[in-house]
Amino acid sequence: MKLNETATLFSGGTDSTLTAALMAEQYDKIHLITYDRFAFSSVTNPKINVKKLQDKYGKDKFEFHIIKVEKLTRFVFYERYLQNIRKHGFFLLTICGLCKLAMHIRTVVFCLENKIPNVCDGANQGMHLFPAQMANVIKEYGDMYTRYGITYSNPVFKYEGPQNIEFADRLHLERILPSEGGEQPVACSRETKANTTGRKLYELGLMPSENVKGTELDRKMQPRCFQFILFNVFVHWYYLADHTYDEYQDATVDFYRDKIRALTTHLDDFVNNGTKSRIYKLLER
Amino acid sequence: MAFVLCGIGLILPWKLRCIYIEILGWITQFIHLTYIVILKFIIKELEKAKAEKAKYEAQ
Repeated sequence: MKLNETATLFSGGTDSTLTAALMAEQYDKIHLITYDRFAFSSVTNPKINVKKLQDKYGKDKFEFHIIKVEKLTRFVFYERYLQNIRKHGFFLLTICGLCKLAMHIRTVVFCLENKIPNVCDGANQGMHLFPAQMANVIKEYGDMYTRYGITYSNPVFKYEGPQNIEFADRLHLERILPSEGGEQPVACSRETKANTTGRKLYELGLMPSENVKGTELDRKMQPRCFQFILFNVFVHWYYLADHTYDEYQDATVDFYRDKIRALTTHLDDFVNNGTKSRIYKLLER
Repeated sequence: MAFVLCGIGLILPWKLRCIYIEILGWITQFIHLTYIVILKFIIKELEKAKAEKAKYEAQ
């Protein structure tokens, strides 16, 4: 076992970049894994931040991998499809969560094949609508990894979500608001004091400003994916229109617990039967 | 409307679903960018008007 190595699910965004930077202080080697499939584009964008990390912590510290997960993702989405529609309905459209689940399954395989006992990612409490960033779903992932002797952690989970990203803030309305006397509106003069991943990256010298989320730079650091559109339609427009967040969270955890359990049987098959397993046939090298 | 959009997504096979969402994404981007362009134009004109007013009052 390579106890001094870890694998990091790496999108190139601020959260996963800070995760990688924090891991550089603890491990000798960090495997940065970016996944690729149909409907992703610009998957080499994370190289921008890989270079920054290598420049700061050493070239040998980080190994960057782009791994295809097209077949595996399709399997994760559609396994026991009719049964899942009856039981979980439109939760099958939590695309971002299912995509992440496929990535986690592939990461388990990567770690088993390369004898790496540690995995981390940039899951953050601020993104609480995304299944893979909900505390109770993360716990299910943790249990799944533990089953195979792998430690799963989320070093940036407790960081606060980015401040000052409201639409009105980006327009800098102070340019047109009356300037004779009186106070400036709070929204225009708000300063970032929160403990965000962006702020920490700025302090480490890895980002040019405290908050790059949603900017052109942010878009150029990560692969492009529009799949979240249907996920947002389902969550905001359909489900949360008639349900509370707690109901959404409970239903999400139920669905992912079910999914993880089903896919764990396939991972067990991979561990026991190797090349004869269903998972092995879905791997793309 | 959300039910229809979600329903279509649910019944489509993998690649068609990805293409469907991509189309939805580009439509959303188009509406969003059109809104942004119009809004920024309005703000720019208001800024110009504010500058002219200040110039007039200074005279």
